Amino acid sequence: MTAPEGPDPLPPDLAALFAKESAGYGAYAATQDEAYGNVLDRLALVAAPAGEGGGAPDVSAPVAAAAATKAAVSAKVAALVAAAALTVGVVVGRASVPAAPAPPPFITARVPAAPDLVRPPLPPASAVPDPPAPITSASASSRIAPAAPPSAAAPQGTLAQERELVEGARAALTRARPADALAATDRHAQLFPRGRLAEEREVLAITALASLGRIPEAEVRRARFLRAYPDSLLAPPPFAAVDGGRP
Amino acid sequence: MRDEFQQLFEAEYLYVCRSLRRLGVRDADTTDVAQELFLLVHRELPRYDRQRPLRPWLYAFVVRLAANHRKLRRHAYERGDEGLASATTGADDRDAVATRDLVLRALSALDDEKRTVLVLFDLEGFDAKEIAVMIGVPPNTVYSRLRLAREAFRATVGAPPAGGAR
Repeated sequence: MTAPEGPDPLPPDLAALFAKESAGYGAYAATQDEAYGNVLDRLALVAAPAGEGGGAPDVSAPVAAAAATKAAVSAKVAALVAAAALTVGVVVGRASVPAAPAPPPFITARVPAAPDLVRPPLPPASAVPDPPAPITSASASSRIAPAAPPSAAAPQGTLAQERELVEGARAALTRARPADALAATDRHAQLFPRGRLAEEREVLAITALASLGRIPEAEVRRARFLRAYPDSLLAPPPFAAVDGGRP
Repeated sequence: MRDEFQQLFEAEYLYVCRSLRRLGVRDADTTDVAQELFLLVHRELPRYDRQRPLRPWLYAFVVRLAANHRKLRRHAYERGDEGLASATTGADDRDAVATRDLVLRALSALDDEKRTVLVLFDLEGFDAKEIAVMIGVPPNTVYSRLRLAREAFRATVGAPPAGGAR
């Protein structure tokens, strides 16, 4: 701190500004419990060999917690999708979507080939060293979903599979491996074109495409997304025209 | 280990969210990225050397994940953030929120290198040596970036106000 080239002290007005700024984040406290629940949930998922159908008997407590959270999450996701569905047709794409000529089928197959041969290089969950990523919600749900009852039971196996793929995709994105992420979303799209996590999958796929520099594809797919989920809080912003331009 | 992790989570979660925002993570993504971060922390916790201070260790993750996030979001950066930002503000006093938004906007105008150093030094209170280790540059570089960052920040927020905010 007191090295030869040490910085000047912060000017008082900036110090005051920063002090006040620091008090502006209290709202995140409300997300803490849910976030912790999600983290435990996902820790349990990591501990359990999800690829083998989901549950490791030896981690019972986290798994129980996970099950509860899982149900809650899926209910929220369902609510989200339902809400979006209700308003389809009323809202017609909220952004002036550029281009999008003859959009490809909803699931833009990256590799238009035989599903079974084109296995995405997604390692099984147990082999993924880094934890898979959060489902939609912490942010989304805390803002919209008025805590749907955790009763919405889903076919457990399928949902677990869905989650594995979607979370794998998100983890890959977080690790800056968009190609892997795209492979995982493609796989999900093949297996669960209308899955409960389809919305999330599309977001991840669009982000992955953009990260790979495949902006036109990302835009086309985004346009489809906006039509399918006009109210989605997860909607990725346009990629082509970055407004203003950032440094 | 679970206890330790829980304590760490409870003690740091809010600060992590705050730092992520400052480092350019969008409001909509902040809690997700924070969860990502704590999963990583959980995984790495066994390797954490307890002789060493916790915060620099923790914030190395914060910096890294924020950078990752920005990379993934490059095309989208800054887009549509303001609206969402105000969506989460219920609990905070209006002045603090307005100031936060002002600061975040000014931070988002900095390039990544400058922003990171300014946030870590002036907002998070790390010293140059800690920052140097975290981001892998010599301390002198931290200083020079800090100076440039403050100048750029100053240019955005304007000269010292007479009295009131803004």
